[in-house]
Amino acid sequence: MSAAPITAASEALQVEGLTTSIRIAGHWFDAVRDVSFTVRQRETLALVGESGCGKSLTALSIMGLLPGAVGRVSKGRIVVDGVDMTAATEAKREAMRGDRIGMIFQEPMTSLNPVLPIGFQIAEGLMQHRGMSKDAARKRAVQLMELVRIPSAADRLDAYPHQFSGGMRQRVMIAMALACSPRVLIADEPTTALDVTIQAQVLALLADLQKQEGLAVLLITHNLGVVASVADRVMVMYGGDVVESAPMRAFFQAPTHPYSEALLAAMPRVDRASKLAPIPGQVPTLPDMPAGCRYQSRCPLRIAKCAERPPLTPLGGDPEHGVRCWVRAGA
Amino acid sequence: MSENKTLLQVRDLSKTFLSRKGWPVPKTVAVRAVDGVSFEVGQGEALGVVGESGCGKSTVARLALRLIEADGGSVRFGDTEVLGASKADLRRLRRRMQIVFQDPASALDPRQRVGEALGEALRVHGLANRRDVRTVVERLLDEVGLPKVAADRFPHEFSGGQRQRIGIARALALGPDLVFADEPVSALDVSVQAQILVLLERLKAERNLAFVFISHDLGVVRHFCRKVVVLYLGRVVEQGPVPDIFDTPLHPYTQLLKVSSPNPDPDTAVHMAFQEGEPPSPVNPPKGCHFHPRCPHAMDVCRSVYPSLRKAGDGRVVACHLYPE
Amino acid sequence: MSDAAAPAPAPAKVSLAAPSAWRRATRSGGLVVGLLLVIGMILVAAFAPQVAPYDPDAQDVLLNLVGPTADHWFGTDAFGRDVLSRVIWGARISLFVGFVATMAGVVFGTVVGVISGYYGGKVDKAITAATDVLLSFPQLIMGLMLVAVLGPNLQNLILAIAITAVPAFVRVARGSTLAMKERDFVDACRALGYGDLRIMFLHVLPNIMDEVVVMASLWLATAIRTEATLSFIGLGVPPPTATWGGIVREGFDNLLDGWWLSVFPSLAILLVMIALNLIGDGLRDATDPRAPQ
Repeated sequence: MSAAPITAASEALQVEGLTTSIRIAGHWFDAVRDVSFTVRQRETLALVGESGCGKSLTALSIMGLLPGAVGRVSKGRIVVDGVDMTAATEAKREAMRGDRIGMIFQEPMTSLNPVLPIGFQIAEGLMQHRGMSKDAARKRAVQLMELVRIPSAADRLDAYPHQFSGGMRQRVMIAMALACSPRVLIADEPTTALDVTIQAQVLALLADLQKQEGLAVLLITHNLGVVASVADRVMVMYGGDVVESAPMRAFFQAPTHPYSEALLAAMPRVDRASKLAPIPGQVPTLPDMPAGCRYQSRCPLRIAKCAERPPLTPLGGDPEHGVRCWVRAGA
Repeated sequence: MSENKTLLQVRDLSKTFLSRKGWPVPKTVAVRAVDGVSFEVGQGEALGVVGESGCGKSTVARLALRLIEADGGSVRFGDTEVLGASKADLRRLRRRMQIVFQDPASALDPRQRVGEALGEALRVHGLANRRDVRTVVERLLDEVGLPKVAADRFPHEFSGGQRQRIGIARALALGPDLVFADEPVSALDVSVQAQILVLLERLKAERNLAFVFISHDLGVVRHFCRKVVVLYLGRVVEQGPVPDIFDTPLHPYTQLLKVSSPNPDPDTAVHMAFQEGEPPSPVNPPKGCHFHPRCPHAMDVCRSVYPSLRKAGDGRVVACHLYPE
Repeated sequence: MSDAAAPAPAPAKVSLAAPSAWRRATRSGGLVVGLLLVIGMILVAAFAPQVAPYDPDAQDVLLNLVGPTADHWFGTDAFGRDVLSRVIWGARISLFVGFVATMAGVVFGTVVGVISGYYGGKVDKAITAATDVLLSFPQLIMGLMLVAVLGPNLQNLILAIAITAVPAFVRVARGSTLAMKERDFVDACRALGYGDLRIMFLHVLPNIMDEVVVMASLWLATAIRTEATLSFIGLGVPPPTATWGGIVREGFDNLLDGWWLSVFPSLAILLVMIALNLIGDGLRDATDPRAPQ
């Protein structure tokens, strides 16, 4: 499989001012607020945060997979490989999904159909999007299974999901997502359900595939250790806001938003004895979110100005490193 | 109180699960979930039990608590043999050994108010009369950092972290000396996880509680425990003091676990060049050392002989042919 | 740990509490309609002496086989008895038999089912085997056999119908108990040194009652139908006591002379079936977390 030609623009995924609202008890609340980013080819952008921070909703918004009755994109533009997904018809979006943009999920068991052989599930996308014949699609399925390093791929084409271990199932999911050589891969907690040694293998596989295929990867995770292993850039989300955005190394050298700092200080480390500093309190529910900075209810640096929403401000000397904090941005 | 006084002594604990699988003709399959596991926990000491899914770490806790019956071995708690204990003895032991579960949503009776759940434990063991129950319950809630009004609420009205606090309060109600904590923070977000770990640490110090802390997360174990047991497919592969094992792991499996564990630091990131390989099924563990198919140092002897546990320095043992017996 | 002192997030502006099971149940209206119908029928049956316009057993040979009139809404039968009064009095027996038999079946079946599921092993195997044997007979045939052996009277009728209900409740209770046992709280209770009886009946039972109650409401309909069927074929409460099945039977003999004789009691049976099924479906929707909101 040859690397995709780099003829198109290197920005594979562009998100501008994305605001996603969800309905709770009959009212709409902004669960993702004004999120903007680009993911270039061969780049991994990690979206980090705890449950309810809006990272998965961002992914679903990009895929156009929000459950209509309770979620909607209320503002913003999403451009995948030059196509404006927000303006596209549902038919166009469907054609993009699985073809130009692939997605893998946390739970590889429930994401696979238990009664269909995995070879068929991989080939299905090829037949639908590429109009391949059954034989050609099967051949390609074997190649894909080899690509994701499933041992004795040809023999296991007709095996069923339950005959695979968790790690192997996630490989199948990756093979399915990559079947049509997409430009963008969204990986939503792809290794969270896996044991650590298997997690390491899957992360290594994703990193290799990204190089080979020139993929733009949006990695959604709660695990800062995973971020440190594979990401090029990091965006930390809290309460639907991007609170910090930085190149990966810069982030770990100098985490700047009080929430980023607190998150790192709350994580026990395997390499040395560490003192834990828990973040007080809990994430407010959406209806209870404070106006202005959403982290203020738990923030030790809170000042009066936090009642106003701070902008994502570039830090001095590094236009790539932005932080949404009045105190830390020195305003 | 001296830390060295042994509280729990587990010797050669074993359990084989039988299940009938297959269609149309089911076959009986034997899974050696726990196979000759031994360890000790001193008063006020935290012992970590680490390993991946299917290594038997949760089963060990349930065997020691007699929630499931062991096939062989012995579990001594203080001066009492747990595995052979009579019903009455077991009831007394329940007050001294408790358990905290991974999923606090499933660990609490959804139809019972928090106050009732805690009060029931006290009343069943005659630890508080009807009038005092409320006071004791409120004290327990306060001890785990919950407000008094929590007593009148149902479990579903709480967040995951708060529910775990309720589970901890219930375990503390009987005033145990030892708590089995089965992945107590794995279902929680990082910030909440740290809150619960700090709470457990405080309880450990204040109540001189001993812990058997079961976790797949090496970082959490390093933080909380003094000693650690590493399990692989039901067997102990390495055991010893936490700093030694984490800084210089001897068993190749422990080494693999360490380099695979994510660390929030790009310079010590997950080591991703490690060999491929899946944990074999516990139904059919490989002959010899169970780890040999994944081991970069596997020798001929590893394929035929299971390595016995051997001493490897101060308070350390390892089950690996790389080290002399 | 000041942080943790915060109580569970109190809904401030908007109530985030999931709509209560009752609200969900009543939204569709079926449950309410069913309940009103059943309560109405129970009241009518309970106050039969006051409500019924005539003595149900009083014969009037001059007024036999009269169709529905203003004096006799449901007409009269071959003995000149008022059909409406007989249907009202018949409701007493039919509903009584249905309720008592179902209750007995529910209580016994649920207890056995919980025990079976909780203990597992040999106890479970034996109970499951027995249940399977009982379930392999069509429920009506079994009722028929039991009444035939025991003899047709009110007590035996109730007993027979109760026995036919038992295996269904053993199954439901056993299945739900097995699901509950998967939850850690059962292990937590054991670790706290609670006795098996306490765990089974104070912790498992309240958590499986949803399923049992749904099943019971549907079984009530079956029990009433079984009573009617057995009475119809002459194995119910002996005449002249009015029961719905018995009235249909009596009317059936004179069907060509008066359609009203069988139609009105049959409608009563139909109505109670519909009402009970509405209740059962409503309850199921209310207790099933997967039900659409």
